Amino acid sequence: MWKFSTALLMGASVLAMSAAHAQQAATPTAEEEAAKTETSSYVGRIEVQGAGTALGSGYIIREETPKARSTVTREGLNNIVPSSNPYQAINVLPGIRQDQDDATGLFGGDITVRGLRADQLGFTINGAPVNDSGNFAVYPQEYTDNENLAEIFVTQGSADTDAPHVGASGGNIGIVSTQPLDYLNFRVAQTIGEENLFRTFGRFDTGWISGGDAKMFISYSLSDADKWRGEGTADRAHVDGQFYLKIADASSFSVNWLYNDAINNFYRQMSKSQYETLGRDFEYDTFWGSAGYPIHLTGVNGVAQNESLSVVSPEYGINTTRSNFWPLQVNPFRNAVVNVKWNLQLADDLRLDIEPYLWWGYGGGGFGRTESEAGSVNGMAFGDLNGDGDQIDTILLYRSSVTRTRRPGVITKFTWEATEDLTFKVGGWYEKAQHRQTQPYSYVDDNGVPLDVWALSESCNTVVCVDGQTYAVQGRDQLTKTTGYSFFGEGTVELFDDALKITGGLAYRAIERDGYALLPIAILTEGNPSYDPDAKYPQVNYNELLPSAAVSYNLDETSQFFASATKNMRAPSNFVLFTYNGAGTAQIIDDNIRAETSWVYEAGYRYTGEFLTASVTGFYNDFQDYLATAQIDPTTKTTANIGGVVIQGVELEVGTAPWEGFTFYASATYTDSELQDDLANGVSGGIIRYLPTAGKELTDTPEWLLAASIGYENSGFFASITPKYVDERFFTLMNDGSVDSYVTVDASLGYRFDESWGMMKGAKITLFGRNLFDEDYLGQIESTSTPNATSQLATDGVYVFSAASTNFTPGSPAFVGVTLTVDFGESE
Amino acid sequence: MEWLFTWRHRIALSVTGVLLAVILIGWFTGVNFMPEPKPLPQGPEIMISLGAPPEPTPPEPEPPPPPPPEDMPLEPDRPREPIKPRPPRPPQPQRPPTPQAVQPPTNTPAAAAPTTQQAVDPIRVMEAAYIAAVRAQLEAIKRYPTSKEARLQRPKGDVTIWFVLSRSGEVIDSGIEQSAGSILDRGAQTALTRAKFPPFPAEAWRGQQTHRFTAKIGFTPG
Repeated sequence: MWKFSTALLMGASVLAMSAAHAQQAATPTAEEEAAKTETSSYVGRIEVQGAGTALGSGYIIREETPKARSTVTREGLNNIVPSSNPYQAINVLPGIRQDQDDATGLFGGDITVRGLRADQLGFTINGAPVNDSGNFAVYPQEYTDNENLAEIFVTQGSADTDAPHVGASGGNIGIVSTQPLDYLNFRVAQTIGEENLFRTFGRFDTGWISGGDAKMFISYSLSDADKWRGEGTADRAHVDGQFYLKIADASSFSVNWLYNDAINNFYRQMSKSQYETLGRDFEYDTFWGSAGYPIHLTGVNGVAQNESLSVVSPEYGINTTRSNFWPLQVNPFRNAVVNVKWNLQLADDLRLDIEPYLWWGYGGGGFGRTESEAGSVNGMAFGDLNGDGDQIDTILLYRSSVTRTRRPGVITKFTWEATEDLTFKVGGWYEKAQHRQTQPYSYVDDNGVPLDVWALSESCNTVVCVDGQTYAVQGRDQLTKTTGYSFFGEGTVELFDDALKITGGLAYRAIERDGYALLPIAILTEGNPSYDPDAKYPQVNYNELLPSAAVSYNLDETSQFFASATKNMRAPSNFVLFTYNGAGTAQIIDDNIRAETSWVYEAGYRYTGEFLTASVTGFYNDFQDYLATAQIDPTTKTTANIGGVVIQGVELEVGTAPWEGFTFYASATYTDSELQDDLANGVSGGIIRYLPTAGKELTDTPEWLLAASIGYENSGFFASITPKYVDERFFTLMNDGSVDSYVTVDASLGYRFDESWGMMKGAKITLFGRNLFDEDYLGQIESTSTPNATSQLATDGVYVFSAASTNFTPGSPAFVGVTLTVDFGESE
Repeated sequence: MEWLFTWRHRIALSVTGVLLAVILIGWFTGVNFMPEPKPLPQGPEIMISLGAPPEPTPPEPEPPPPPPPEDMPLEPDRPREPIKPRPPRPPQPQRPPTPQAVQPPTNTPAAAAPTTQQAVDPIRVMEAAYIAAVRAQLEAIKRYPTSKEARLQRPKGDVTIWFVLSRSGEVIDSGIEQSAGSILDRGAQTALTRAKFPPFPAEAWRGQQTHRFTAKIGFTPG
């Protein structure tokens, strides 16, 4: 696989070089040039600067693509504290509803776009996909440093035809990094803020080197902050870099890399009633380890020590156990992404882009948990955990769900301008991911700290080993090999003097998953009657042919009408491959599960005038086989296709050019969602019972989202104020439970020093504020599959479903931070 | 290096404090620590004499041809030059000072030359004005390409386009004279489709039903 890619890359480079030479031969001679100038008038040189403008406070650009698309530019990215993650940057765009655990963004959070979750959206960094290959989750705090971003764009409805996604039934969020600067520069930025936020950032740009062909940058940031409620911290180190090499006139080679190393303590999620009685400050216990509340009970042979006994919390007055002690809730993760690009102009009308990438990650999420010495998991016995010689105790442990992922892939695309009015794109994507998931236990010391947070130790004194063996007890142990690939082709024709543009595309996307169950151990233990070293469960395949069509018509230079229709797909997560029943057997849970597909129809109008830029888009998403938890047979409740969902609405955004120093931006989104079918939610008397969800709204899909941003800039001073309104949201499919609407107001204020002092050539000091009016609200909803929050009658009119529940994460309180950024080096 | 990690907050804050102090002191006192800017190159020494009037400047030759090709380098094989600040326009050759100030006023040839110039080329002036109008229209509708490839690859380069306008200002034909890659070429051509050029003045390019123009569009991702 790699050898083939290398050969292809070599071949393409050779082609590029010869093409460049061929171009030189075609250059007219001096005489020909002179002849031309005699009958030809030279108009002059016109400079065009890119789209990093101050339009609409940095939240809108002059868009032309025939589908819904919104962009945050560098200007908009400057409005938020630099520790922020990409979800926070796109907060005000139409269709976006996001909330992070805290204002710093270091702990992560969630997002929905038109009601679709992150694991239904595609997420790319410079074109490379970064969704988890197993369950398509995205952890935004792991990928970027704000200073190195050029823009973030969102296609709310669908990913592009050439997108490398199999888990995107909704749209795509794309992150674009800056290129290295053309001149030598050293930037340093220091941020301090509430929550003891401390962040140091440094970036070095070489400028053009090696005769003007190559340039690169490398940056490093170190951040830490305390949680705003309870105890615990976030610690993050991040490296970004890019190497850019110009090959011939319009070809380039570049390498982007990022490395992130972070360890956070989790914030505690709470039920609605806990939020209502204990308030948003409810958190994990901090009192364990103090007098009267020891972490571990002294071991006594023959006497059962039960560390799972609950006590009344002196902090909250409710029952709690040692498992809720804060140092036991840890999220360590390190990941790297390398993205190489050959962007080659092979001939005047032919471009080739070859972009291999590699995603690597290791880490997990760990929580406190008690286990009984007499018990076992997946057929693996715990045995004496506290060393007192008996096996009757229940002991506090730390269990971590660990993930190890390696995903190399490559995207290749040819763009051929057949004629001035006809363009074709053809290409493919191939990726082979290996995803190993384990769930080991670690001992906990007398201070309540896990001995092995990173789950890297192999010592049986640190990690809990199976009684009498030298290998670890695992709550799960599975390997998923996922091969994703796609072929795509797209043609665009421009008619009537380029006023009418028609695009048609077809993508074939496929994913094959091979699940290797590495439990029960019996299967892998030689001599055991169940021994089967080739134990592997059947492959699952999901593939879809995904057509797309789009039309845009430019009425004149300011008005554009567009319409598009696209089919999207999202494959089921890899956990449908594995189930761990009491005996520890792994098997495919549901042979009938299908990929979620959707048809997205959009139509809209864009106005781009000198002062005003606006767009209004109507959308209609028709989902088939929506994936959620359901009762698929009398004995199994799991992820399943629950039928159709329709999400429709209107998105509007407006931005202005600077006027008297002010720029304005506003967005409004109206979303109407409807479940088409009843939900198979339970079983009684051997018969599956249905919840009457047909006609109900989707969870976490607010009807109204409103946002605005007012920016002001004048002689060095700059400021912005950004309010956002999120409407009420249901958290059950029966719509009998909801979280209130809320308004948050963010702001920034700063001053740019334009003077230069010696090597120091510019400085900026910025004050950032988030949720300045300290709104108290429930921001994140843990599960979007909760059926009902109160007792509900089944469709048969007889059976009664009892209430289910989910957890929430409150929005973070008012936050203020300040950053000083200084640049050193040459002038532009 | 453990100590570096342990003391990182204090080190970072100290450095920040120093930088902030330097910036604020510099800002408040208006002290500019930059080295003295190099003085502009002196022109030739201006001599004032009461002697005979200087050699009359010969009448201006025929108006100079369109700007020399130096602006349109034909060096595709050379690597792009590192981006330097635009060199300032070479200082206009100093005209000998008009002798009027110290000489009895006479009809100096220098004064005569411009009149002669104007009398010869009102058409050229009109054509130059039209070219300026074409340029202004391109300036008004210029836009960096917004395709996905353009946003992700952010190419930079100069595209020389040619276009033929009819007397009514309609674009009859167009093409690329000097390519900068298909992404930017497309951006340049799209600009042309948005442009609305005025009709030719009656006297400009008399006898020609169409006229060919070239323009160099320099794209910078910004």
